[in-house]
Amino acid sequence: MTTESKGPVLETRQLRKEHGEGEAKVEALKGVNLSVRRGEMLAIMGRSGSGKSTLLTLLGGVDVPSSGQVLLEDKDLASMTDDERTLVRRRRIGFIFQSFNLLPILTAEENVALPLELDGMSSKEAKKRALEVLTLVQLAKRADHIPAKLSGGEQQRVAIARALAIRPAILLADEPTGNLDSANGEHVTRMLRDLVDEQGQTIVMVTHDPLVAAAADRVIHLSDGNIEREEFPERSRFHPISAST
Amino acid sequence: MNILSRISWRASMRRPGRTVLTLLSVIIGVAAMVAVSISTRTARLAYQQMFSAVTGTADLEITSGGKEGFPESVVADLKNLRTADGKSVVDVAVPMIYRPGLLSVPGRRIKVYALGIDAANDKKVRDYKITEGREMSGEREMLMDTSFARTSKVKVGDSVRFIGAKSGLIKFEVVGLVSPQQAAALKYSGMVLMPLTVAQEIFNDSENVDRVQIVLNHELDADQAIPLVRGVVPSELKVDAPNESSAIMQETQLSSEEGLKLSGAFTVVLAVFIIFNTFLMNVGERKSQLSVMRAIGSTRTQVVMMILRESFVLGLIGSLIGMVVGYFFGILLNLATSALLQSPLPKPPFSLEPFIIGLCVGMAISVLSAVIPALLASFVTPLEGMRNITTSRSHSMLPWIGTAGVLMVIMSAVLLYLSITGLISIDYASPAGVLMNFGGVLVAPLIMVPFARLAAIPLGWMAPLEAGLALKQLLRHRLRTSMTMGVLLVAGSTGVGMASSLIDTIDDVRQWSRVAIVGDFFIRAAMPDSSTGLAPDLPDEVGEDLKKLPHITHIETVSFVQGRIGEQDAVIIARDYTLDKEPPFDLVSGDLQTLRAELMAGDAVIGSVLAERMQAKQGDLLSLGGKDGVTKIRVAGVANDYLGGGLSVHLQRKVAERLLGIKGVDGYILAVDRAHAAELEAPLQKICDDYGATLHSNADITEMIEGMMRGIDFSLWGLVYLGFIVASFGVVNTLTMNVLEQTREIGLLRITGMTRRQVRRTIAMQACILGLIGVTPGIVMGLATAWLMNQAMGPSLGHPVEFQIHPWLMITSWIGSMLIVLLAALIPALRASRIDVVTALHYE
Repeated sequence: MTTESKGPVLETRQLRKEHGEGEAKVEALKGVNLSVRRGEMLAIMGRSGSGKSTLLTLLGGVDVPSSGQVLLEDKDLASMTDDERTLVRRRRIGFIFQSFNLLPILTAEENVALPLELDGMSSKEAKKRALEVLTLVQLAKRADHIPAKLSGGEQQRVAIARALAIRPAILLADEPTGNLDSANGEHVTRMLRDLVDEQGQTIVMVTHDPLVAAAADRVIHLSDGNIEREEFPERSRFHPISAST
Repeated sequence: MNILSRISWRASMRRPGRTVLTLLSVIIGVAAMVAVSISTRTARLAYQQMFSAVTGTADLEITSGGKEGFPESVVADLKNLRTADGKSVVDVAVPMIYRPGLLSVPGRRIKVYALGIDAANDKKVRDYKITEGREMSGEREMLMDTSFARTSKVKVGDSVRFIGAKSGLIKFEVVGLVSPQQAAALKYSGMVLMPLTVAQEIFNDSENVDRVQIVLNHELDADQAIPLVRGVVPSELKVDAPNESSAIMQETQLSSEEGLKLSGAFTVVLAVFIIFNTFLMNVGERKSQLSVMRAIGSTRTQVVMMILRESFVLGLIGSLIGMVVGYFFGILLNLATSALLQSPLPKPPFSLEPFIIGLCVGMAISVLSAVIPALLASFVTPLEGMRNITTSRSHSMLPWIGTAGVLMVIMSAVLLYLSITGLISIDYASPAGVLMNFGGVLVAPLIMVPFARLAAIPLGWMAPLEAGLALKQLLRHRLRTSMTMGVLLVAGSTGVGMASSLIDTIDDVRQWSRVAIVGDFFIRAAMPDSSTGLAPDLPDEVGEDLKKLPHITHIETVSFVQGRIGEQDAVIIARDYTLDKEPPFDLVSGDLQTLRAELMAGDAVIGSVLAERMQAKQGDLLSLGGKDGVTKIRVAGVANDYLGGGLSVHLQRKVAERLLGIKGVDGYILAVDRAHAAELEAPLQKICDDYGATLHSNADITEMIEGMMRGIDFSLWGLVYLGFIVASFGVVNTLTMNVLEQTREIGLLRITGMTRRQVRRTIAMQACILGLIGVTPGIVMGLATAWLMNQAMGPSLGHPVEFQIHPWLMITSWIGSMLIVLLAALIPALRASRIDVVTALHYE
């Protein structure tokens, strides 16, 4: 499967976000317009405080913008209630965090099944699906391990599996390799790229790492709450063409 | 088990200490409620059913209103009674004797009531079956209740000795054991059944009976029949529906029930706040988990329900264990009550009621305490987990909580004032006390910060670094610290307040006993019942024999009978007052100098409770129901009195004989030549042995009262420290949580050179600050609580108990409580000092 152009799955219109009040008020995003195509892998880069993490939380419906719109599959997250946004997160958005954020008291399989069971799927069905995605991330054999018994790379793969379990419209990753060594970082980056290439998964990730960003189809650079520039990495070793050559 | 339940279960298992502390809080709260419920229920049932055993299934009963009986011929008159249209009024009229006595069984003497029954007709008003042995057929035969016989270790065929009145010890054979047919298992407890004629003989009253039970013609109801019956019986007799005469017993019972209920409620209040704080910490610790759950799609409702489900399960488990613990505590409490009353209480009947109360209380305190933490948990945003930021919503709640606390304290103070001054019922005093406790804890957030800073100053002189760090950590979690402070504060205030008030009451009793119990020796058949004042008569020969002994300078007789002042039941105490001394009264009003003359002239001294109840004061005229109808007697004085629960009327014996027809003697008070007191003991003891009486020297009585006081003293300290022990669970929780949250900081401090000892000291300093800000003001507030409680006793004692400050109580409570608090810090402190530095630096 290739990243041929399709309609946008996610779009922002004049997205603004302010933090704090009075003199302490900071404008984190200053009217960002962004469009993410279905099956695209987009990387967001920028210095600390540039607004990239804020942008990711708004894209995921975790936070609400001060003004503007976030359209996920044509539905505006900004105008939804908290419960409606929660349901969208549960069913359409997969999250991958820098610090994995697996529940330490649940096994890998249970962590992956968690969003499905929260949505009312039976425990049996949820576990069946969890095992499928754990197999996809090559962790089926570690399904009954709790996070403390897994390496950092494995934990992040479990987190990816959890995000994929719900068959999300979009997968949002916040520094997915930030807590991993280079080998595990590369493994996770390749896995994300493969998801895009083989399953048409849409991914938006925030990263500091140019090597990881190079795996994306498109990179936007944020600076002071604005999109400063846009890049289209070519022939990255993560791309199928580059890999095959 | 669904995923949320699995998360809850594993979270609980991950912190077993905290789970156990929460469970313990529920267990103690539930156990307290169940024990109090069982104990009060048993005592109340024992009284109620003892009376229903006497009154049976009768529609009406005729009583004399006093101890002395009335002619049995009344029964014949009743049988001939007809309505205007010729219908028979009375279906059955069964006479009986009902008097106190002593049962002498191997190894001890037990206070019992003797029921002299007309065996031929008794089954028409009382429903029992013989479980072992047979019916009575001979004269010296007796029936006993099955369970009472078991607790008294008496079997069918055993010989027992009974002392009822002037006849001395009479030997009986227990020929049968009886059980009531109804479910009420206590009916005949503490009671023996004997033939009516034998009872009449024993009590030297062959023509008289004490009660007549009437079963009415089924076409008539009690209201129609009472005027007709009153028309044919002597006017001084009371014709009532059964159980009316148990009112005085029930009233005295109520005051001790109130005390027990208050202690139970106080434990529950502490438990509520500890559970609240535990869940607050639970939610705080799991914030990042909750945040992740929210990020991946858990709704707020799901989070709230998860926390509430946890509280429900903990409440259920805690309640079930608490019910079992409470059942055994209830039995212990019954044993203590039984020892205090010098009479065996029957085995508590199994009833679901105490357990249902316990379950409801346990579930309610657990679930309600978790509501706010659950709501706070639902407000955890997904952002907090994604970006490691923390938002403390609990800080914004502090002013609201404080304000609610102030309002509760004001409301409870107003309620207390109104109930103490009699503007509303005194029944509101206990709920007001509980409300004040609640308010007290909630006020803590308003005062915590300045108190904590103040407490840290002296600690800073000892260890400035550790004290400073301890203070910062406590101030960082204001709600948690405030709630822990509040729990300690309420434990101190209520524990010391109750103890202080109890000591004041004991002093009041001591003062009364010093004044009222004068004499060198006392002879009695049995201690008068503390609620009715009734006691078995002594044979006349006792008095004759006493007169023959040398060195006795004065013999005074005393008798107790039940009587009526207006519509109020009271205990009439008749004494000679022939000793040329001031009468022995702890007077609230009246003139001690002229009192003796006034008593001789026919006036009365009344107990302060009766005075309060009748709104009577010195000089007033009261209506005393007597053998010749109602007589007006003048109140010469009002005395602080603990006999008959203060519902007492003291009359000169001759006056009592004239008005009430008193004949027998319940006790003798002897004044002797002190130089020969020791040599008199042996002959006095011989007289007592001969007639089955009991001898007490003044020292014995003082020792007996002191012994009872020591028993109360023991339970008093138990009460003070129970509160602090429950509160210490809160301290353990808070400190453990603080240590957990400080893990990374402690790691950093250890890297920069802090020793393990310094770490331990920092945690100990936190405990010290918590103790100082909770215990110290709590103990000071205890003074106010004690004053309020003393005032609140006004309506039930007839006078407020004098308030005194007890420095030793305050100092020992303070030291003991601080030690408990420091002990609670031990485990968290050790845990903190053992934190692995490398792991700690990676702790999130």
